[in-house]
Amino acid sequence: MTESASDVPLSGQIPYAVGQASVVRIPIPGTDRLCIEFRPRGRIPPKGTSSTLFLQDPTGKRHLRLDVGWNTKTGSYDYHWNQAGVHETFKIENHTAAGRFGPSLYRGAKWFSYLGRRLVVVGAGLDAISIVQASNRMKRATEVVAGWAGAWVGCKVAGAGGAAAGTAVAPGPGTAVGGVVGCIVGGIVGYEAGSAVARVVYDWPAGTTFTHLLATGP
Amino acid sequence: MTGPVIAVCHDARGREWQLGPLDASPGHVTLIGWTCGWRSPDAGVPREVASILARTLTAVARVTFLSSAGGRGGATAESAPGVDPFRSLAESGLRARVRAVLAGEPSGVTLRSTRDAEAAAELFEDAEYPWWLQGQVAVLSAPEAPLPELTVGDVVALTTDEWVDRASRLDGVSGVVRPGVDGDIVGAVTNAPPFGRLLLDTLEREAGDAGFRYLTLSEADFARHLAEG
Repeated sequence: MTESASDVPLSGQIPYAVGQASVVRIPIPGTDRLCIEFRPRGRIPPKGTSSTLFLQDPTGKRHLRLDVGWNTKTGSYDYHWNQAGVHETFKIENHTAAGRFGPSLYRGAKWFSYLGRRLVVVGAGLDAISIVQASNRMKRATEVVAGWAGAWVGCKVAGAGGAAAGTAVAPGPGTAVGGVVGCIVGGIVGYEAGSAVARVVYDWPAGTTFTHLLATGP
Repeated sequence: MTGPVIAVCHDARGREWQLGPLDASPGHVTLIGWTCGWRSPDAGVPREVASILARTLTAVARVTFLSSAGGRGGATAESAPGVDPFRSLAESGLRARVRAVLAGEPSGVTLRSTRDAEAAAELFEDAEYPWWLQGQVAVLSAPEAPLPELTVGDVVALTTDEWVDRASRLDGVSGVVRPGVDGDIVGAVTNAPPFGRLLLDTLEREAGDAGFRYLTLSEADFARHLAEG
């Protein structure tokens, strides 16, 4: 018997796992707490920042960021990298032009930052609806929460692996692309694994019976 | 490379400096830039330059800037008698706080006020109010006077394009210093010509003492000098 489209339960797996890559700090191994992010650390002026991609430590003092605007080194407007304290890691000097793929990476990061947050909300919303629609809401809620936790773990682990691989190919831009792709893939797999584990654990006691212990007297 | 230089520019008009519409108030804003004779791979204000700037500012004024070290120091040698080196500002009233949140602005900030050059140099390093992302501002006031009466709105406005106008309307404020594009330059506005002259004379002296040449350049030469440096 084939399953009709209306029988397939809603799931926020894909939008949630994809979107979370824009909000989770994706670790970069071997860099003393550098992470990939789409927002700066610290307070910035109300007009915002012209940078869209940040590889930075928790304070933001050590950072590599992709920026657009006036470059005092070239004396022109361009896409460029600004960095402080991470030259040894990425071999990119402050104000280095971002190269041929710089504009695409800049715009991609800008849109991903914007859309990613909304995807997280959409994914969480779909998951919430699926809980309401489920015949066993507690079970579905357990699956969803475990899926989110699995997605977070998967993002961190696979994102770190992707960042390391990307660094080997192209330190800086490769780190960012590898980390984000790894986070997305790891998030999807992690969500699935988390939900599956939750299903098994939830069903585990279902066939279990309990027997009374016989009282033994002296 | 021409050795270490502190360069100033009085006729800047360009938007590229990210200091607001300079052409609307020509001559009001002085740009201060630097080259160290060697190309640093890092962003930010080099230690030697930060030291020159901090010594200059504290020699002529009380320097009040955004700080994440709020309240930890208590009364120290950097404070004048009766002047708290830290002051926390907060929006008063629920409506103002809600407005700040909706506007994405802080509803409270902490200011550090000092005449100590070493303490003032921290304004270039505070990660919570990053100089390199133009999240910092320093207000200059009379050395022995109490801190100027500032509100959160004043401080926020001084980090926006309307900073020149706001600086001119603040009582007790002699001048304002804030970062330009990428924190690679300093924008300085003063509210009285004598104070402006004193500030630049002191900068020239401090630069000379530190082994830096002091140059006054046109906007085009200023930009060229930074690029060549």
